[in-house]
Amino acid sequence: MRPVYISGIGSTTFGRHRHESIESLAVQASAQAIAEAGIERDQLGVLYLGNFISGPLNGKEVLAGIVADRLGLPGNIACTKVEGACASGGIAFRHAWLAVTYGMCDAALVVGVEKMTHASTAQVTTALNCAMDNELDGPSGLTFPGLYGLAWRAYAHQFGLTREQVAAVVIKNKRHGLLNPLAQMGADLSLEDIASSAMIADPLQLFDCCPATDGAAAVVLSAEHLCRTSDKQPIHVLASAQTSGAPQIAKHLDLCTFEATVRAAQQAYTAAGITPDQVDVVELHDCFSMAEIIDSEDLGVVPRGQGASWAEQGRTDVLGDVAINPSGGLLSKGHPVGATGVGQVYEVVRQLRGEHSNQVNGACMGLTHNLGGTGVACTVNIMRASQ
Amino acid sequence: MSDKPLDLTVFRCQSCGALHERVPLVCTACLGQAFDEQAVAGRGTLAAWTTIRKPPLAFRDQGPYDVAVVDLVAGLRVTGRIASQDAQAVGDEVKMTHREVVGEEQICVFEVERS
Repeated sequence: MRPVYISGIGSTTFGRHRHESIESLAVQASAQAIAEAGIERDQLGVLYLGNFISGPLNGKEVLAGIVADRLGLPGNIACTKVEGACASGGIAFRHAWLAVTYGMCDAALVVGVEKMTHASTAQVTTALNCAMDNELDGPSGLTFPGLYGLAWRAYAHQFGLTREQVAAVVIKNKRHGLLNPLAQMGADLSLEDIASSAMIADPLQLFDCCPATDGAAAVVLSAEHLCRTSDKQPIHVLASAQTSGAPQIAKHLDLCTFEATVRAAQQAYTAAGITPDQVDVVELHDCFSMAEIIDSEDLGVVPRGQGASWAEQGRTDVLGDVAINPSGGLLSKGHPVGATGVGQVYEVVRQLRGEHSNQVNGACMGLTHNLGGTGVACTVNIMRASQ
Repeated sequence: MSDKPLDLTVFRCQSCGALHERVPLVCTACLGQAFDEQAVAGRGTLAAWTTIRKPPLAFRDQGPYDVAVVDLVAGLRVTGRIASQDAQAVGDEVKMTHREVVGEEQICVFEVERS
C-alpha cells in the first residue's frame, strides 16, 4: 500500500437542475476535479461512478461509460458504475482509492451523481425503496422515514429523547446550509417550524427528512508524485473502510445503532492510527435527523446515548467539541443519492484546506460517513491535511 | 376478537435449529437447506413502531398504517403491522390477531394485549 492523496475536487450545486441531463452534471463536476488536479486525462487509470437510481428515474444505465465518453477519456480507462444505494458514492471512492493505493494506477477519477427532482414524490419513494429488503421487509409497507421513526421510538425508550433535542440537529444543519453556496435548502428554522411540519412516519416530521436532489461531485485521487501538478494542498486519505450490515430490519437487534457504521469506523480508526477524539470535522449521513444522532454515536465522536444532548448543547456545532455536518449535511445541502458520499469528501477536503465557507477553525483531521439502505453498506474515510 | 393469540408458522433449520420468519434460501447460521415448519405463539413485546403516512406506490391506498417490530416470546424478531393507534410504548405486550395478504406474502398483524 502507498499513500493516496486527493489532488482535485469538483461539484455542481445541489438542488434542482431541471434542464441538465444526469451526464451533464457528472461531467461538470469531473471536469472541475481534473482541472484542479492539473493532470492529463490519459494519466487516469480508472473511473468509478457512484449512482443509485439512474435506471428507474432517468432511464439511463452504463453511466460510467457515457460520462467517460462525454469527458473524452481514452478508451483504455476502466469505467465502472457502482451501486450501494445511498452509499454508492462512498463505495466508488473506496474502489478508486484501492486502485491507487495498491498501485494499479497512479490517478483515479471518482464521480457521484443523481438526478431526482423531476420525478414525483411517489416515484422517488418507490425508487428509493428498491434499497429495502423487499422480499422480507417489503410486505410490511415500511419506508426509509419509517425505519427512522422506529429508531426514534427505540432510542427514546432506551436513552430518553425529546422533540426539542432532535430538532436541534435540524436547526443546526439547516443553519449550516445557509452558509454553503452549494446547499439546496439552508434555512433559519425555529422549533415551532419543525414541530408543526407534516407528520411523515411518527414521530418523524417533514423537516426531519432530507430532500430529493439533483447534483454531482467528483474527486481525483493521486499517488504522491502526481500531486505536484496541483496548486492546491493535497489531502492525505489515511483510511477508507467499507462494511456491510443486515438488509432486513428484524435482523437489527438494536435499532439504536448500525453495526456496519460501528465496524467501518473501527476499521478506519485502526488503519489511520487515530482515535475518534482526534477528528475535528465530520460529514456524516444525516438522511434523517435521527440518523445523525445514531451515526455520531456509532462513529464514536459522541458518547453513546448523548447524540441528541450534544446537538442540543451545541457541542456538534462548528465551534463545538466536534463539528458535525458544517456543510449542512444531507438535511440541508441535499441528498442526490449517488453523489452524497463524494460530496461529503468534497466538503471535508475544503475544510482541511482551510477554504470552506463555514470553516472549522484549525481543522486538520476529517471523517466522512456514508450509509446505504437499512445500514446494508457503509463507508468511512479519514483524511488529514498534509502540511 | 379471540383473547388467544394466533400461532405463527416459522421455519426451523434441520441442521442447527435456527429459527427463520420465512423460508430462507439457505440457513444463514449454517448454510443448511432443509427446514421444518414450526408453530409458535404469536405473542411478544413491541420493540418499536411507526405510522407510515407517505406509503410507497404499492401501498398508496392503505395509508396511514402502523408498522411494528415485535420480539416474539419464541425468540425471533419479526416486522409486521399493529392495529392503528393501538401501540403506546416500547415494551408493550402484543399478540397476533390475524394475517393480512400483501401480494404473494402474508404479514402478521398484532394488537396490544390488554389484561
